[in-house]
Amino acid sequence: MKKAISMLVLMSLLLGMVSASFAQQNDVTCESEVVVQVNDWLSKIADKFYGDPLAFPAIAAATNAKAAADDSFATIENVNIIEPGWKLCVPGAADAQTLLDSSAAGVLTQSADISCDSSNVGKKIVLYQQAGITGPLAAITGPGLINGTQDAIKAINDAGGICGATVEVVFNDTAYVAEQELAVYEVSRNSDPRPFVILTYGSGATVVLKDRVNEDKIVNIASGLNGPAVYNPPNGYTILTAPIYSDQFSGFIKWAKDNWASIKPEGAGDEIVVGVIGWDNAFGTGATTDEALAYAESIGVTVLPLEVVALSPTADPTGPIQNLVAQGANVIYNQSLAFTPATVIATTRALGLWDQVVMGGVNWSMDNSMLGSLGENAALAEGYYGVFPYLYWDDTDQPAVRAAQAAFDAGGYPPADHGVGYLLSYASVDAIRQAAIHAINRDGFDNLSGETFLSAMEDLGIVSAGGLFEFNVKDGNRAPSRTQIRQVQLNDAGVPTFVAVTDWFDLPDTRP
Amino acid sequence: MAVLRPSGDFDVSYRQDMALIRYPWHWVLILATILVAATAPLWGNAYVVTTINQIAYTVIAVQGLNILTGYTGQISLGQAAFMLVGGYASALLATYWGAPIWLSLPLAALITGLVGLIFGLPSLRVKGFYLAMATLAAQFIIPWLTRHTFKDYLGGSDGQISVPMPTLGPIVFDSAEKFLYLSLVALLITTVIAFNISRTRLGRAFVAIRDNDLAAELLGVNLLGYKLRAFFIAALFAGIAGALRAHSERSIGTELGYNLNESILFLGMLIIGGLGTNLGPFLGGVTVIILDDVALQFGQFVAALFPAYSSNVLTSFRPIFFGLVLMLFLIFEPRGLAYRWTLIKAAWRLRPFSR
Repeated sequence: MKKAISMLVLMSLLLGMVSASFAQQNDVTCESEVVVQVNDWLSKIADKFYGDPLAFPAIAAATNAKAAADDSFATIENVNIIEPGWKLCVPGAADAQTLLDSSAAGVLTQSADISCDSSNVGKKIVLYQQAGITGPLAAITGPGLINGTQDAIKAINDAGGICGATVEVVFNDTAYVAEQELAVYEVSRNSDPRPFVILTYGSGATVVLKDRVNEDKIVNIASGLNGPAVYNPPNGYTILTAPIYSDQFSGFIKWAKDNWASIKPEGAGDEIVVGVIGWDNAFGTGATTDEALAYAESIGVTVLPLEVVALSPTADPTGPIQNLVAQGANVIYNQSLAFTPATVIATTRALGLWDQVVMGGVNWSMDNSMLGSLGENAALAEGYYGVFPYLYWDDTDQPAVRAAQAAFDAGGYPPADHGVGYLLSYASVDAIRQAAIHAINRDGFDNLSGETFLSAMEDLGIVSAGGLFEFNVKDGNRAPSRTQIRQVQLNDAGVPTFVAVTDWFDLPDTRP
Repeated sequence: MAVLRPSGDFDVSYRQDMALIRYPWHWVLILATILVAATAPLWGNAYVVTTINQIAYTVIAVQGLNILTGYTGQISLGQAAFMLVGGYASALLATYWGAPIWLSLPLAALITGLVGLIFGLPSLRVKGFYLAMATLAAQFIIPWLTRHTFKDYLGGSDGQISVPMPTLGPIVFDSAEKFLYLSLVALLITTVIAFNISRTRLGRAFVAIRDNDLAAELLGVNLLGYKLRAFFIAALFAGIAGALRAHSERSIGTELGYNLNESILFLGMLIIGGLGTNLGPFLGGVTVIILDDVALQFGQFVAALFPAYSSNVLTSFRPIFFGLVLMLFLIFEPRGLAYRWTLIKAAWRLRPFSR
């Protein structure tokens, strides 16, 4: 009898576990079940049920969860491909939101396949791009910028354009000179058709153009990540491709603080002392703003006064490095790009101080251009950490990266251009496509302007840039606020690659 | 009007001798230049308009440098820094006092002139390379001060502040086309001033100091007084140029340049145009700025020819091209384009026996 009772208890326990696990699998309840028709897209269905085309990942996630238990539901491997006849699970609005939130935490927002309500064959959409493909920073802002744009546009046009309209780009070189950025902008804004969006790549351009784009109501997709220029006044027309520099810096020291035990140099104490080496311009001084310094103080990290190096490949950072180490710095953060982080790395190694500090820097510092500046000594960069708010060429497991790589290979560009510049432009154009389609669907093709384009972006909130990074125009934001931290590691062939050492995380908010 | 003769100008009265515009073709040339520049918005695109605007205020800065370096022989490497002072002064006056452009521009020029005086003080004691070093100090101190002091007013680490659009009564200079006229009017005024300085007691004293300062002093020229005046005028012009540039770029600060490179470039323009001539700043300014655009286009062309080295070519083509042009000028045209212009005029007078 005793045995029977214990068996019964055991059975009921087992049963309970099984039903619990069932409950877990069926946690998602389908509010409705939809069978895919010809000409259906996930986003179309999402739009129909939730009024938001970008909620489609919720349907995909719910359907896949259901499919695990019930094979009458389809398994969606690629959100861009659904077949007629598939049965999909459409969760209720609240469930959908939960699913969206949980799926958004660890990964980048994926590019949406928004469909068009109208066809505008024969019309054209012109993008205006201005950058310094000549001049001192050609290594990073070089031909990759325009090649990326052109290849992305070619891909869009091959697939039928934006709602049928052919996309074109007008490119102008500015040599990174503010006067030239302005002259080029004057030409663009007076062009026919009037631009609704321009792409720029420098703090100088962000600063000089910020008031003008606000007045002209032209969206400036900018890569000069100057916080004060973007948020003063708020809700402007400048939208950034990566987090503002002070956010990046704060995020980096927060990460260093949280992971100090595992990353700290041998013999270093528990106190974190950060030294910043930057150029003597808005970019170089952009990390250590008052807000970022206040944040550092609030988490108990000491930040030494900024050490400045000249914007020149021949500038010698020996003095700044020695100064910082003498003041007890055990973290050195580079607020510069291309040749300067390269010389800082090489000099720190040469001085024998590499093992005494954690070396890292702003996103632009960790790029092909930095490795290129080191040349055959690229392996010296091993161990360098960088804020990394986008995917990179090394992420060959990501379809978005593979697509960009295929376009790059097809173009036959030199290896020197295999940097972030190409990816940035290539991906930005995809975000422009999505927001433009949304604007056209909502306000009509003829009303496509900077104003409707910006409000479309605000509508979408988070806009994926080809799955490679994301724009954040939600709640007055003008820059993305999520990143990974990556580290330069040598792969099996001894080639430096940028390996993620964190998941995606939210940066501290240090907006001015 | 004077008569164009093979032997040179032949004046028959004091009136003629003092005339600014000496030949009918001077009138033609001046009016044609003004007409071309002023109608730019009609025939040129926005790029042409902004470039002419850029040429206009650059020429003003070079005119100032010409008075200091060309006429008085005092080398200065701080002209861009003085422009920064003028730009900030005009911007702050307009932002905090709401000063209209007719007030803020002259006031900014005056303030810059006073700052120029301070850096001119060493000129009595030191000459040549030593003075170059002393003016170099301005080029380092002023940008440093704008970045590290009065952060709320000067922009601090941001490296720039916004500059309001200039107003003149009901007119708001909100576009490049409108702004062009402001710059052209300013250029016209500074040109008249520059011409007048060169032919009056002031200018002759400057030239005397340049040619031999000891002799000038023996002739009764107060060296310090006149050198300071030269510094004052040079900075005054730089102030006007800086204010115009600040208002047309709608922002001012070290982020937008105003560095040693620019100061040296102004000197380069002056050398290419012709030191100590009133035509020099015009010829030099126009040549260099157009050359800059040519280098931009040509650099891309050369990069396309050598794709394997494209990013190196793109990075370094402009400085190399520029350095080369400057060197060739120093070798083949050491007295500048203005001198070449004099030679052409002389050749025209002597035709058909000019060779």
